[in-house]
Amino acid sequence: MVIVVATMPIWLPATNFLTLTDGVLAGIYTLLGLSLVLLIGYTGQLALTVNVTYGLGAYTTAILTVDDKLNPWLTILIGVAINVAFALVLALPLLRLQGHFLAVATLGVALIGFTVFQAAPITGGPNGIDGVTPLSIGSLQISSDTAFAYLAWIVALLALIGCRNLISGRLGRAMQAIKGSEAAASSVGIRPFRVKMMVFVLAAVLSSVAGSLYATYTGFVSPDAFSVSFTITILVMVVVGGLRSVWGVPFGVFAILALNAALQTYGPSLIPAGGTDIPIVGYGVVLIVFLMFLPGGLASAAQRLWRSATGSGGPRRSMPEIGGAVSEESS
Amino acid sequence: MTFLFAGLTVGAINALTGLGLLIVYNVTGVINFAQGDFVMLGAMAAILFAGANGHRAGLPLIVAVVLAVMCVSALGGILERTVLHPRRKSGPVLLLIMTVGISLVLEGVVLVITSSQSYGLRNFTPGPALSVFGGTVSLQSLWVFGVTGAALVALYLFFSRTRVGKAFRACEINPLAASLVGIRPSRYWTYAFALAAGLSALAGAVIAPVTTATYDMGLALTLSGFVAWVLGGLVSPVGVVVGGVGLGVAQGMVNGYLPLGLVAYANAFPFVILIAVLVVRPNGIIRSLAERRV
Amino acid sequence: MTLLRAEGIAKEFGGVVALHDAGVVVDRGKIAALIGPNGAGKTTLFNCISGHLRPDAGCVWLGDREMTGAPAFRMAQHGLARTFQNLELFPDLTVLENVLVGRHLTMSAGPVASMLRLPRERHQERRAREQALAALDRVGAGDLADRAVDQLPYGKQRLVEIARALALEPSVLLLDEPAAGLTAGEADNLGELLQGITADQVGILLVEHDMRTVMALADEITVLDAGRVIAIGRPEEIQANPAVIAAYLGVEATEASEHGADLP
Repeated sequence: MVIVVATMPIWLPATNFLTLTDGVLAGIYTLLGLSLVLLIGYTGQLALTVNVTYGLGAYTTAILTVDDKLNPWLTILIGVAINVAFALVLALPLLRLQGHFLAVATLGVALIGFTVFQAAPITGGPNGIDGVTPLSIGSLQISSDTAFAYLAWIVALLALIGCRNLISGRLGRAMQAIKGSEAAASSVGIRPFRVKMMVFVLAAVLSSVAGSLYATYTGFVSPDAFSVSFTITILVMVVVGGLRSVWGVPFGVFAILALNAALQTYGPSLIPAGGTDIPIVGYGVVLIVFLMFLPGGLASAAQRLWRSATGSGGPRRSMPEIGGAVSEESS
Repeated sequence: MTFLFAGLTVGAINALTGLGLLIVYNVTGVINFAQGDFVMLGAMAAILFAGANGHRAGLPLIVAVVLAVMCVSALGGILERTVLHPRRKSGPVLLLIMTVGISLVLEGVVLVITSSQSYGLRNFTPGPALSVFGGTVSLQSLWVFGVTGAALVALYLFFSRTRVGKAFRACEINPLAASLVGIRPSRYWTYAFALAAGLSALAGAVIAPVTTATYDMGLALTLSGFVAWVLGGLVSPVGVVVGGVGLGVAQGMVNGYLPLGLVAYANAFPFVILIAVLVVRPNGIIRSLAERRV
Repeated sequence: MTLLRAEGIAKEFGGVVALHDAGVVVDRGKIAALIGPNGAGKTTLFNCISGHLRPDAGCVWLGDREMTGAPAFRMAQHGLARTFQNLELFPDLTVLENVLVGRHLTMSAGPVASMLRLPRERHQERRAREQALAALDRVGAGDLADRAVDQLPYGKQRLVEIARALALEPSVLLLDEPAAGLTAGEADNLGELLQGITADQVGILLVEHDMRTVMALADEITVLDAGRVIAIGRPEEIQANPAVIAAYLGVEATEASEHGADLP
């Protein structure tokens, strides 16, 4: 994994398909995908506020670096703090809702958030905020795509390893227990609301950092990046990677970025009327196809291949994850 | 008064969408995320059949509307059969994400066809707006009220008087018992989707002359329908209608009387109500849910 | 010594009275059984005791601590473990992981420590794994540790649930129909297992339909009918109690005839 990331500036542009910008975004989206995997895949909480928490992080960094000239590193921390507070406040009423109802309520929050980003005076409205200060280490500015790709992926790798560790330990089991049966989880002393709250906060932190990184990378923040359909896009990536797989996330992200690039390139020639908006159809089709035929995502496909190749292991899990084999080597 | 009428018009659509959600949820346990897209499809199909913006000569309006409702209803049933049905045991979360996928595809296809343009439909009866009680109400709004009312009466008769309607309710109350008396609940999944889609399409067709139709109008409609449903207390169709109309009127008032500085936030209003209801009465919702699950 | 005492428990659901004046006592190292016809309120009483339902009236004591209305996780913290009538396992986890969840309270890793996987957490994890394996071995399912829990046969799933409850190292163990769906051989093993557990000074409360198991294992039987206690006593006393016989024959003739051989 480390090698793949280290050589990213070489192989990514060589695909003639994806650019290094996609590589940077993939790192950022991996953080967002992880937040959904923790919430949906492992805790069973279909919370879809990622565009809001992502946006809060991005706007915090944008506003504080542009208006108040704060150090961008500092603004990442402030963004995290704001997001934690936001998540705690939001969790109180929302996390008591079950399944579907949580989904629709959080979508309501997602829409409110998007509307606020568009309308609030402080966010610069539809025009957004330009001129976000780039990150720098000492006098070294992280502004080139290459430097930023490394930064984004260092953060993403740390988050991946952290989430993998979390999942395989006490709290990760508690999360999956809650997903399976809250009654049984509480019968062994787990406090479902607390654990859900923790995951909610963790997800907000991950997406807040992603938002701040995004703001410093592009130097420009506008509401379009934080629409409800953005949340759906991340959801599609996570479903493709495997909802119950930490290491599947980056694969899902790259798969969808590649699909997006392909549709942008070849789509218009296939369906001239669609213009550049064709990816939406593609996402929908991918989502349905995966859920119908490969609900475990790429991760489960990879594990099935691995097993048939090595001929090892009997039926172990009904919905396998890639975690075991791959993660041991990479940590 | 004018705002009240505008609100009632929106409210009628909320109510129909909310009823669609309710029907599907009661039978299948799925919240159909694409419900609002069926409204959009109903509007688009009616426009397609009747001729866009009155330029192209199309079918007579009544035929176009009936055709649109039938097509969308059939589409709803087909989508359920082909996409959801094979996976209907995979749990509510995955099913909801699948309906998100359906929603994306529907929006995407319409987007490709319409190139994100908005389309209008001619009024069902031409003529100037009427003034009633000091406000103005367009003739089309009267159509919306009338059609919604008729649909509600028809639904009531369907559920209380016909054999199929009663079987429907049996599936809601107890699928196992229903299957024991020879009703196949799984088949009613399809019926529920078709019925709900048709209802939404009807809403779309009558509202099209008022609001015009765009490919991406579905999400907000789904969520408004959901708010109507939550406000209405989740179980009763009457509640949904009251909730939907109440929400619509509130929306109309907000649009009319909101101070200028806050106008930009008006879109978020229904969802603020939604969250408020959830905050104030989380127990009510959880309890009725828990009862459903048992 | 009394480990668990519930008294005067009442519970109604939307006007339907499920429990009127129900109670039960569990002593250290003893097996108490709760029986009664279908719909007598056994599982409701169970849920009121374990904190999964909040009783409308009555008291629940764990040891000498009053716990009435405490949430389920708090009951678990104070040494009460339970299984469920309709099996509530965690399908995403393996058998071993299911049992490991039962060690939740004895471990301490918070989110940050978990993500960093500090040495202390690793050590804890290793110990918990050993203990969970021991609990699995104890119920005779040690060889299933790495299997997917939802692919096990019903009887084995019951055993895993018992192992998960045992992993809490509870002082009181509530078992809701543990013998349901077991083969005759498995049921016999279950009896031995329960007796082994009581030998460790754990008190067991058993809801059970299978009269053979109940009569063979229970030290004391509480009979519930229509939400209230109609008899308490040793198995032979219960078998001879006319009120019990009437309840079984009157309310549910079919079930009484099934178990007719057990009731004189």
